[in-house]
Amino acid sequence: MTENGNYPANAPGHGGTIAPLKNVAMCGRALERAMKRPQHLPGMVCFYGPSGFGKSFAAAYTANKYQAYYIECKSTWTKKAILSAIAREMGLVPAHTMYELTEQISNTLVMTDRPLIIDEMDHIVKREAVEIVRDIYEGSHVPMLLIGEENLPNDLVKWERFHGRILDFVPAQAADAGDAKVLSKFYCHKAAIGDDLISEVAKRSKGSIRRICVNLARIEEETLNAGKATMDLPGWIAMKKGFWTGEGVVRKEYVR
Amino acid sequence: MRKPEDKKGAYETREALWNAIRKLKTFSITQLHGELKLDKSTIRQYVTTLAHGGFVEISASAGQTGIHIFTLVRDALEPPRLRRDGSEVTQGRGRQNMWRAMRILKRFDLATIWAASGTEEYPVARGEIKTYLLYLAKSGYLKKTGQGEKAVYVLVRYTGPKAPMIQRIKQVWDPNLKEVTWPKDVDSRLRGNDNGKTQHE
Repeated sequence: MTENGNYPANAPGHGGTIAPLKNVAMCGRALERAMKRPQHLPGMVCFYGPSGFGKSFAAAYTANKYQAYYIECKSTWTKKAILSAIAREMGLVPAHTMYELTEQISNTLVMTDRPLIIDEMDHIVKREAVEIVRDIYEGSHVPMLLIGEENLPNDLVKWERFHGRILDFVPAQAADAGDAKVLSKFYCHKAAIGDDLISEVAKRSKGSIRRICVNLARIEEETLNAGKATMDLPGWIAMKKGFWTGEGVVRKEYVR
Repeated sequence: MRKPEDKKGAYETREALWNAIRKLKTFSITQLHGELKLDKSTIRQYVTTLAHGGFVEISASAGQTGIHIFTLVRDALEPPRLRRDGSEVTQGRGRQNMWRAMRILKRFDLATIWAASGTEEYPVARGEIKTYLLYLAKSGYLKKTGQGEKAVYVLVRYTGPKAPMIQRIKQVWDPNLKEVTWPKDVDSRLRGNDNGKTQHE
């Protein structure tokens, strides 16, 4: 059983973890800095970047590693909906008023001392609801990880009192060949893929974790379909399957 | 022999015991016994592990018989799951991590959820994920499209932060709803009831 955690990391059927992915490592380190900060420093960290850069991977790993509460905001949520969702995520029966909810959440955070991860923070900014996050932070002082799109730090500048409570702004990095290699352990589980091909996948995926995953899965599938157990760059080029770069095919008649 | 999770009444769970302790703050074993439908020995055992784990302390001993009065010194929302020596029970953390990763990713295939679930402390084996996906799809939490290893799953029924458990008799118990979510037909559930030797996982 894996539940007891006695699994050696190199056991068969086991790909290690995604901890070595650049963004996962940075995101984890950022939250850890907030957790170990001296009391006089602020405890919120902001992790931001374009979609497809593996922010969800980073969030999932970080949430599991630090047993954090996780909530993802929706564009339609009101301030109260945000608070109720956080309360439910903590296993509480949400109180009726915003004042009570804030208190309920802060008290529970203090007691359990687990970090809070807020994903899609952009929606909170658009709703002008950052003050409620600040209230929760002020009431609990637990480390918080705020995840959002590329523009999040700029959007937060408007909220000076909030901005000042952020310990660190961490931009998500574009994926490289090292990241692709880590992912190949999970996505190419049954076929051995050469390092040259993995590097090419990273290059053609233009830094996007999502595209790397799609390409690796495709390579494995095609390799197995062709009755092979290994694949390298020349072999893949010979198969003429190409790479998925996320670009639509431009039809000739529209090109001027 | 432990009772399966779905056979426990509201007053005989560790949760009820822990809530009673939190409510009383200062208590004796006899006092807890009066509040709950639990054996004194069960209560004593849990309180002892709580003492080892640093959650409660003996604040006074009264009378010739030496009745201990305990005080709650470390609070927690969820009842602490401890071994007899007071260390934390980690069983179920793997599933808990998978469930949390599913909630974060929402749409995933086997490889993606495998990659997202494991940590150094609680690595997750591929087979373990496969089993869990199978049961969650059967009991309606996940919608599966496509076949085989490349099938894509969407989390369509998120019932709460606690991971659904696969019990030893192969039924799915949802600790958020506190109900069995699979199998749905009553007949097979009754068969499960008759089997007195079943244990929950």
